[in-house]
Amino acid sequence: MKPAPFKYVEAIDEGTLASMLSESGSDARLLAGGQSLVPMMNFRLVSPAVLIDLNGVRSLEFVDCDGQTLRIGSLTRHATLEDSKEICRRCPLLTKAVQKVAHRAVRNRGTTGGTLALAYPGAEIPLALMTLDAEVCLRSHRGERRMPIAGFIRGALDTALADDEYIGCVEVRLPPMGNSASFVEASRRHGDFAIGAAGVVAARDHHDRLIYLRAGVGGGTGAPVRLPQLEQAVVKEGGAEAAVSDAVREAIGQLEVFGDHHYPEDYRRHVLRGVLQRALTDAIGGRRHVQ
Amino acid sequence: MSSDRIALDINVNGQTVSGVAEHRTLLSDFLRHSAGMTGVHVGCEHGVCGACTILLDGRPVRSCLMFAVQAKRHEITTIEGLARGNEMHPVQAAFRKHHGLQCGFCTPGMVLTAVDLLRRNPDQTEESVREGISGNLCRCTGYEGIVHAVLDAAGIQKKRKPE
Repeated sequence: MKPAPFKYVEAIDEGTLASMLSESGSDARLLAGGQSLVPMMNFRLVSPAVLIDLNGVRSLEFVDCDGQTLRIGSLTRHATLEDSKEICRRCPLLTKAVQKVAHRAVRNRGTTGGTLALAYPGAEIPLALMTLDAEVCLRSHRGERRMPIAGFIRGALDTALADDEYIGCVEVRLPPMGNSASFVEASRRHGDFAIGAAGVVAARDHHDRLIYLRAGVGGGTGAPVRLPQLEQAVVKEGGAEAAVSDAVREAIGQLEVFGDHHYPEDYRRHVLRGVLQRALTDAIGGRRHVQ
Repeated sequence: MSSDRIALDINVNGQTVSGVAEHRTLLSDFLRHSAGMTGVHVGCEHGVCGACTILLDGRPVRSCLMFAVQAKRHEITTIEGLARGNEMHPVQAAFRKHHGLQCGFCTPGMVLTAVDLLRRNPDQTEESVREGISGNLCRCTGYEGIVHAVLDAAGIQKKRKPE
């Protein structure tokens, strides 16, 4: 339960970080929050030769919320997102999702970049960001590139991050003011990764018409998945209950779902239908989901 | 592959502790063996049980998921640093009053978690306390005494409902 020996180096700014990564490539792992990496190292599931600690790269830790856009630096701690009144006001889906991440002690260290780079299939923040159609900014000594999160997360534990790259930030186009959000998760214990989870954001206009809907699911789906066809179908029917149920059945029926010896495929589908139904009902009804 | 030893000066409970560690030495082990803070307990070593919880700059973290070398430039508080001389912290006093421990293995992590929970929001209910301590596993008590202790420390009297 102790990690194998490694060389520890500290990056003091983005320039050093980029050059350290280009020098060591696949021999090195980045240490941000360490809440996933260090358990793996303690189990010796991974034994990097070099560990690059980027906790000193302060320029990567920020939350910028202007009128239209939310930008989150990759080193931002989950607890910072959790405590942000601005995010709670403008983008409550993210607040609700982050409250489900592990426990407070883990959230005090875990980072946005870390959870995205790992892309664990039951992880809450990647699901929320996928539902919100975030853009991911990747940096290296070669420069910067941006990609939609749907292209960045390719599958469970699989991203487009190159060996010499690090995540700079994520950018979210904020949902309309006054939007209502719901994040519903089924897990065995408080704080566990999701067996199945759903995130939904809904907004109505002055005439109380449903004009904006974003819905995504994760857990057993490989990468988290946004459901644009369901969104359109539900908005078209003004969020009517029958339309919601039909759309949920259709969407989950068509989804590629992976089972394993813990949770077989049909069980996962059952859970996904349930959490998605609840999240849609809550967000569209503007009610808080009581668990 | 480096097992080079490095000299470390870490601020623990307000004092500088000087020690020698490998790069891979976990903060939990450094605190126990180099700083003598055996109140830092090691349970699962993968961040799940909460026994190793300490305060880093006043905020709870899993010391088994940090390396000692990362603790430079931070202030560490362990359970040993909570009391003021002979005067227990109110959370400690409440644990004693409400029988919030049996073997004591989870207790340091549990108490430090509770201290942070109440600091952030003293307005607790039974439900919010249970949620707040859910990252600290106890195998002895069944959590009743712990919850009573935390609620008492929060200044709320728990009313006993007749069964």
